[in-house]
This record gives sequence, C-alpha cells and structure tokens, in this order.
Amino acid sequence: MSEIIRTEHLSYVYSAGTPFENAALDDINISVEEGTFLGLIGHTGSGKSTLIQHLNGLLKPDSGKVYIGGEDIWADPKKIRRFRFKVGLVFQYPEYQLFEETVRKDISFGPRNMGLSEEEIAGRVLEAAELVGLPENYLDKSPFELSGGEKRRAAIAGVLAMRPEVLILDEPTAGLDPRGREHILGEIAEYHDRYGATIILVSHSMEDVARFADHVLIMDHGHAAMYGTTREIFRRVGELTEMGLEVPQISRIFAGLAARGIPVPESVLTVGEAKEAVLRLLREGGGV
Amino acid sequence: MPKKRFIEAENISYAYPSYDGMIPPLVLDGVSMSICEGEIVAVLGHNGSGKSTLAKHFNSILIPTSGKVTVDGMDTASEEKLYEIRQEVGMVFQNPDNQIVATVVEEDVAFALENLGVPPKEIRERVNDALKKVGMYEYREHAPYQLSGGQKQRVAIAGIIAMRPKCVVLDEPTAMLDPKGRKEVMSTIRQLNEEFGITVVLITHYMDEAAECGRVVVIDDGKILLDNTPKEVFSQVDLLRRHGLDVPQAAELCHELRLSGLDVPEGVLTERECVEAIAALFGKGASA
Repeated sequence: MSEIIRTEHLSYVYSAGTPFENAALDDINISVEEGTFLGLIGHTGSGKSTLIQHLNGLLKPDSGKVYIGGEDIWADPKKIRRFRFKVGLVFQYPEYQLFEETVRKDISFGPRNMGLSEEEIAGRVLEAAELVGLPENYLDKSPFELSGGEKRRAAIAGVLAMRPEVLILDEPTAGLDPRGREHILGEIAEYHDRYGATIILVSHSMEDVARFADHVLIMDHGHAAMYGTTREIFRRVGELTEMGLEVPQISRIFAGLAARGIPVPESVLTVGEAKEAVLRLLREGGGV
Repeated sequence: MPKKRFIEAENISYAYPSYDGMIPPLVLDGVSMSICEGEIVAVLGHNGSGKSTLAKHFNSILIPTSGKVTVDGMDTASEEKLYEIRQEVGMVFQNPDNQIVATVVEEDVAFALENLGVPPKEIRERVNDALKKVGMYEYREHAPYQLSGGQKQRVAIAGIIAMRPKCVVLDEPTAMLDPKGRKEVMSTIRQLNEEFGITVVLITHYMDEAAECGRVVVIDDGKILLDNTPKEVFSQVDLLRRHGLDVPQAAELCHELRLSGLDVPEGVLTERECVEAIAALFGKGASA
C-alpha cells in the first residue's frame, strides 16, 4: 500500500504576533496509508479541526509541509484547488451549508465545479444519493423540506459526489440519535469499502471509533500525542484517562478485570469481542 | 413519604396542525404519566419518537389535542394561567447559541427577570444566586461568545433558574456539546435536583445520562414503552434495541453473557457492577 497523506514538521499558530497567540499545531509528523480508516480524537481545542483544514489546503502551514499522494500541496499555490477535490471535507453540522433550490442542485455543486460533463454529474448525484440512502424522489425537493438527519445526509452526499480519495468528516454524528448515527457511520464505511477511500473520522465517541477505525490519532494541545492501530491505542487506558479522554466503556471494564488478576486480553474493542473473550477464558478453565 | 404530584398528563394525544388537508399523524398517542415534586426523570427516545413534543406540553408551549395536562393543579389549556405555569416550569433547549440574547453573561441571566418586572435590587440577588448555582459566577462579566458550549448552556440554565421555577424541563441540553461540556451540564443538572430540590425532566437520547436519573420513561411512536428505574429499564436490552435505542456497553455485555447461559445477574448497569459480575464468574468476586 502507498502513502496518501504525509505531514512534515507541520506547525500553525493562530493570531500570531498578538497577545492571543496560540500554537494550534506544533510539529505534526504523520503518515497515513491509502485505504486507512483513521479515527481522530482529542479535546475541543486540541487542534483536530486545525489539522484537518490543513489536509485540503484550507489553511496554509506556518511552517512544515503537507503531502497528498506524494505531492507537496503548496508547491504551486495556484493549483491548490486540485487537492480540494482529492480531499473532501465534511464540516460539523453540514446541514447548515445547504444552499441550493433543490437537493439535486446542491449535490451537483461540487462535481460541476470539477468541470465534469452533465452526464457524469447526473450519474454521480444519483450514486451519492444512493450511498447516503436518500430516495430518488427527494432529489427534486427543496433542502428545507427534509428532516434534520436527511439534510445532513444530503450535505454529505454533496461531498461524496466529488468522489474524493480522502474523505474527512468532522463529527458527522453530532446531535443524532443512535439510529441516525448508525445510518451515517454505515454509509461512511460503505464509501470506504466501495472505493478503497481513505477516511478520517473526527469523533468524540470512542465507541464509534473503536468499531469503525483501524487506526487512531490522538491530538493533545496541538501535538500528535499518540498514533497507532486502534487496538494499540485503546490498550493505553491509563494514559488516555490522564489526558482527560475516555476509552470505550468495554475497554475500561476489561482493564478492571485485568486489575482483578483475570487474564483477559488487553485490547478489546467491541461487546462482541468481549463476550467471546470471557467465554473462551471460562472454557479454558478461567486461568484460576 | 408520599410525594406530591406536580405535573400530570392524563391520556394526552397530540397532532401537529395540518396544512395540506391531510389528516395529520398523532405524535403523541394516549400518554398518561405524572411527575412528582423533587423527582429527576429522564425521557428517552429516538428522533421522531415524540419526546420533545411531550416535553413541550409540560409548560404549555403545546396544549394537547385531546386529554389534559395539569401543572401544580393548573390546566395548561387555561390561558389565564399561562404565565404562572411558565414561571413554575422553565425550559432549556438544545442549542445554547439560540437561547442567549444579551452580550454580557449577567445581562442574559437577568433578561427574563426584567421582563417579569422584578425590582432591580432583587434582580441583582437572583442573578448572582443563579450564576453561583451553575458555577458561572466568575464569568458574569464575560461575553457569551467567549464561552465554551457547556458554559453557554449553563448560562442558559441560570437564566431559567433565576426565575425560581419549581421544575426545569431540558430538551437534549447536551446534544451539541463535547464530552467535557456534557459532564459539566449533567453535574449542574443533578445538583439543581439534589441540592436545590428542583424537579427535573431531562429529554435525552444518551443512555448514560438517563442512567444517572432516578426514573427513566422510554417513549416511542408517541406511546410510553417503559417507565421504571434505570436498572429495570436497561435490563430490557432487546426491547430497547428494537426501538432504535442503545444500552450502555456494561449492560449489553452482561445481557449477552446471560444469553450464553452464564450466571450473570440481571439489571447490571454500571462498569463497576459489570466487573463484579464477571469477576464472580472467575471466582474473583468482591468477597473472594
């Protein structure tokens, strides 16, 4: 597999030269392989949003470099737009950004800016709508006729229609109920599987990250504090708790069992895995 | 000690007005429940279940299409009681940014009191008192835009409790907050109930928040599905899932293990209880 995203000594300071100067990113060096499903975790103010805005050139690093597919995205600033099509960014509460008269026009906006043919645009709109589970008869409705969850899915479809190689979503499930959350996460996983796309999912929900992501990046005070496979990261219950981050409840339960001297595996990510682990241990005589 | 019933809903149904001549669907369908003085009750349900519609009946924002709601003995359909009802039952909504009207925190908290014609000296006292109760007194001279989401939501709560209500109804007050903000707001809400004796109705789809309340009412399809202690409610894992709700991972794991034929007690709710239950299987329970 090849590397799709690399940052080298990436740093960014907000309000430089004022009393409010604040290093939002401090020497970030990460490398992400193509096809990775990366969970990005950190407190509010840890630099998560600043980092993702660097990956498609919405922000320009104060120092350091960002590479997408091996190319320095700021090598020629006039060509930065190409990277905005390659790296699709879904902001928080994207439903507030719908602006067209119909859902179809709204989803078409990105592909049209890419200069695709009308035929190609029409096909992509249908496909994106299908991916997010919006029925075709919704396409001619006004976005204002949709429910909150449907609006959000329409907004995500607008980014998917550009078929980005890297799809970044900033808390796409914020404010949704469990059913709506499952819907959106399932659609993202489907996009990941169907196109082999790289996904970066910014989330406060450790349970969701544990279920979907294969890698996790933890941001803390502008630093990349931890980066590794999901299993490696969630095993570090103590360190994460010290940073004020939560680990999935199931990981905490297993840490509690380990503390009781029960030889449970250290890294359990889902309830299904946990159940299997307990049953297996009991069968093997429980190590008692 | 039998507690005094404060809010009573008797067989209420509600349909939003129809604009297209069609018969509108019932959003609430024969709901009966009562809330006693000093209770803290969670109303749990997914989007579209009718939980917010129910909440809006508790301070006369909506009046039932059929059936009757009384607040402290006053019929919510009676117009001359409207102001009295709204002073006794305050509402807090989801988005903190939509509820803050002033440019200085303490002025925002004073807003309702000014409208009610409370004497200035008393306004001062009540504002200080309310801000202290939510832990935002130090921020009284800040501008709301400088605050975090959780802080803004606590200011919104202060604005309500400055009116000295007997009951506060909160409609998904943490849905737009990060984990830290959620914790701040939840501990404020519990404090209002435990220390200041304010009756609390918390509308939420977060199971962990519902688990912190004394009583959980689950609503789906406009009907009450369950109404019991958190322990009893969360032991109904299959039922909750069928209705699009989650259960805490601790409850889910114990449920799964019980289904596999293991001797795990019912009604496990917290992490600690789950660790105990599993440790007991390995002969390493608390007594061992």
